Amino acid sequence: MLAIDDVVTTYGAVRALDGVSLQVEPGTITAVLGANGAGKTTLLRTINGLVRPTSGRISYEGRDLLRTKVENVVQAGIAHVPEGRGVITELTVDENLRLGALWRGDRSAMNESMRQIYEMFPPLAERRARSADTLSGGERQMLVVGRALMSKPKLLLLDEPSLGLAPRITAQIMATLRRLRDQQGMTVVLVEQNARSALSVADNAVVLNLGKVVAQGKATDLAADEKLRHAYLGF
Amino acid sequence: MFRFLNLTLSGVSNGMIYAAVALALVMIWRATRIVNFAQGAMLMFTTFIAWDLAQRHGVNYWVALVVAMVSGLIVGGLAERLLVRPVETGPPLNAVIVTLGLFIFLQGLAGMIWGSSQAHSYPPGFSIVGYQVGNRTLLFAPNDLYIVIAVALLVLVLYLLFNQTPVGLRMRAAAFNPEVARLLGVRVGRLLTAGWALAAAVGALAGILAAGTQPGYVIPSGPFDALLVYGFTAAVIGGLDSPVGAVIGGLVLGILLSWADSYIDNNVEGMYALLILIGVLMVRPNGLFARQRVRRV
Repeated sequence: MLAIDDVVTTYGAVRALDGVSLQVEPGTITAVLGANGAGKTTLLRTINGLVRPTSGRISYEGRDLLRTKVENVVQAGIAHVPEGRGVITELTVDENLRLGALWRGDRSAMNESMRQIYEMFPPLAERRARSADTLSGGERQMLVVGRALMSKPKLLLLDEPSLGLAPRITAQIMATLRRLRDQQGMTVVLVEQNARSALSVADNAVVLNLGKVVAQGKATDLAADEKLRHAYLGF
Repeated sequence: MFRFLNLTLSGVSNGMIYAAVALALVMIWRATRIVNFAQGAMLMFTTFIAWDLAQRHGVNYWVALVVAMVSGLIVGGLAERLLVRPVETGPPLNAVIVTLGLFIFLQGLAGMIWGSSQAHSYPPGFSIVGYQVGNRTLLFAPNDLYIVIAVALLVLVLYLLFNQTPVGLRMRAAAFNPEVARLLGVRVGRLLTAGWALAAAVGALAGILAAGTQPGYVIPSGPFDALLVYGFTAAVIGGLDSPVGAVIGGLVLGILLSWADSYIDNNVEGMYALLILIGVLMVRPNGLFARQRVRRV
């Protein structure tokens, strides 16, 4: 579904991604793991076009993503979930959600999606007219996930959804991802520093270190590899 | 007491014009985080275009007004696309210098086309003879009522546009968080251009309204520069980020200046504005209506 082939992304002299290749199969959750500065976030930003690689290819359902404008990526069916700070705090909860579906230009479909999101995340429904500024960290994370789902994506890219959240809330987010995969066949790329919780829901995983893929395979295999866990995953 | 009422009314009318200029500045600040020092020159230029049509070619007042606002759209849009866009990613000072350059350029261009020293007069939209109350004349004429209604309508339209339409939601998202907005499919570049265009059209309306308030207003430098200073003061009083603050800032400034002109001395109006500006900045450095930013660590 998503094919990343030998991608190199540089910031000045730093090779943030140094020949990364990755296949993401439909209906699976792929975890991208690694320490700070391993290139995880850069990988996401390269997929959605916020940064352009110096070489390599990225295609999504046969479409060349490197020739797709950032603004058009969402129309291709890819939704980006920035970390919780990606809520637009000056807007209300309602407005943040609506923004996710605006490009569809279909008011009744939007209202229907909104109803589903509020059903999925009841705490948001109670605060729909409030400024997103007033939300807690966990609610913000629900809001960015909900906003991404408003665009009816086929592929969901998540950037560190567990960052700064209590373990109980992280577990809820992971459960939501599992449900989306099982019930809607959603494909998910999950960038996480919290390897343990990411591996608990992921089907496949890659481990990045200094811009290179150091391990790749089934999530259960990686979780069972004690050496790998100690060297790169910190548990 | 009658004098006080009169001064206040006259201040409200002027204040609405400052409010419109302040709104133009606030809209651009919100969209691109730039204080547009060319705003005064832009609205001077569009007012000259309308003046040329109305006085030299006998074009109807309302047609000239629409032409001025449409010219504002074009001037504002072009300014963003051609001048501001290339310096957007650089240090903020670059953009400031670019707007100062545009200010000088437009002033020079207007001087070349219409003469730089000749002061022209612009017809007011309505009568400037004050309303009668008993046997006394108010310092408030049909033209002042027109100014108040025109700016109030403008505020209403902008409010509805920004808060009730999808385009307004996109514009706010693009201004508040361009990167997230782009990821959600918002064409940020286009909307920033639209924001500048809209702001310049708002400024163009303010220019026409201001030009009709006194004879000899239409000249490349002078009154329109003062108007920018007042608009800027009003915007800062209101917090630079808040449209509501801009309108209230404009009204407060208009009324205070009107009182000071009459009760103290009317030769140093610009100084009062600066004193008010300094006073507000000392008490509330973020302006009266800035939203308190809570930073989470």
